[in-house]
Amino acid sequence: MKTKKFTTKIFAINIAISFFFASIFITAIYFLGEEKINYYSALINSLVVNNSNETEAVYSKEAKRLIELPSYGKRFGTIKIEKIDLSLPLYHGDNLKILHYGIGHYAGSYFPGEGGSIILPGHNNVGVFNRLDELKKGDKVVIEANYGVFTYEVDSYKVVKETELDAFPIQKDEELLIMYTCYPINRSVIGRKTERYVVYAKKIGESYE
Amino acid sequence: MKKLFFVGILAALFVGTTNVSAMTEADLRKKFDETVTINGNKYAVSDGDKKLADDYLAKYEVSSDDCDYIAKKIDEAKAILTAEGQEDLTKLSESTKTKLKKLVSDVSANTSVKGTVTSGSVVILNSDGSTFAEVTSLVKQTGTERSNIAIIAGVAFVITLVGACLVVKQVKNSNN
Repeated sequence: MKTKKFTTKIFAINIAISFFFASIFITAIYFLGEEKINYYSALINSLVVNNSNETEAVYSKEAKRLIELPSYGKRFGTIKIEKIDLSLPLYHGDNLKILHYGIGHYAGSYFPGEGGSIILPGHNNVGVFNRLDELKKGDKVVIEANYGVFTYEVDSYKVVKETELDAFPIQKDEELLIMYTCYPINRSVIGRKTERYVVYAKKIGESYE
Repeated sequence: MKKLFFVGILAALFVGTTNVSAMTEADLRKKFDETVTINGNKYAVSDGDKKLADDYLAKYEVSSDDCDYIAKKIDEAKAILTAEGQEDLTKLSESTKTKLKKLVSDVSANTSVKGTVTSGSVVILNSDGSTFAEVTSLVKQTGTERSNIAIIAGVAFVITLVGACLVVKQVKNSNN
């Protein structure tokens, strides 16, 4: 009985001490090696993603719109930004699960080639949109969809509050790529971020071969 | 003009209010531009949700019977919102949200327009049950802090348990 009480007491004390030191140790490792951890997480995700099948979207050049949409949650192309060494799969839909695997597409916006706003959210992880703020006016963004290749040129960028919906206009006057991620992009803010870094790019070319 | 935040409900309902074969595209646009007035403030379906509705109607035709049923549910939705009188549609009472969710369930059960309400979104379904679209807020959370803190806490907890068990085992061995 005495041994059992002693053992239980030892166990409880060690739980508290071990958790304290383990937390400090892991937190230190995380903050010292955050970039490496995020890089390899993104690498693993991209390996998973590159094995997924693309869904067929059907585009009508006459109507300048998709007549068969990609399936929700499925990949329909790749987004490439040479300036920041980015090449990621592009998915239709933007729920949290989809954003784990690549760049999402807000389903209430238009698709490349439809002549309207195309809204693409991405996490601010290493290997995803963590370098979005390095893009300047004139930088190129290429979307390779399964129905065509579209080239955009960065026109402007800004930081907005997440509630400023006017910064994400759904319009069809011109084809406008709107990419965004949580801001600040670095790790100095703890908890939920209420600002977004938004980059606007206008279409300068397309190819349907 | 304010935009409806709880638009998932109304977008799903608006989708089915037209008999595509009877209405022109201009009639359709007018329908989506209709507003709800709450305490003198006008609310409208967001442009993103109108686009979703357009895409749905381009894919599926809705019968006139279904249109009539859904039109009645839209009137009920407007009455519920007006009765609550809450101008900030992100702060609707739980009872109002429950009533609105029931309208979506009614439409889904009694018409060809299928949808479900989940935490934070309305999921519009294809005829085969797969997801056509999730209707949620436009701007998503794209940071990673919460998941990383969870990882840190989880790893620390596992290390703690392993360490504590090893110590207990050592104590038992030394007592024996």
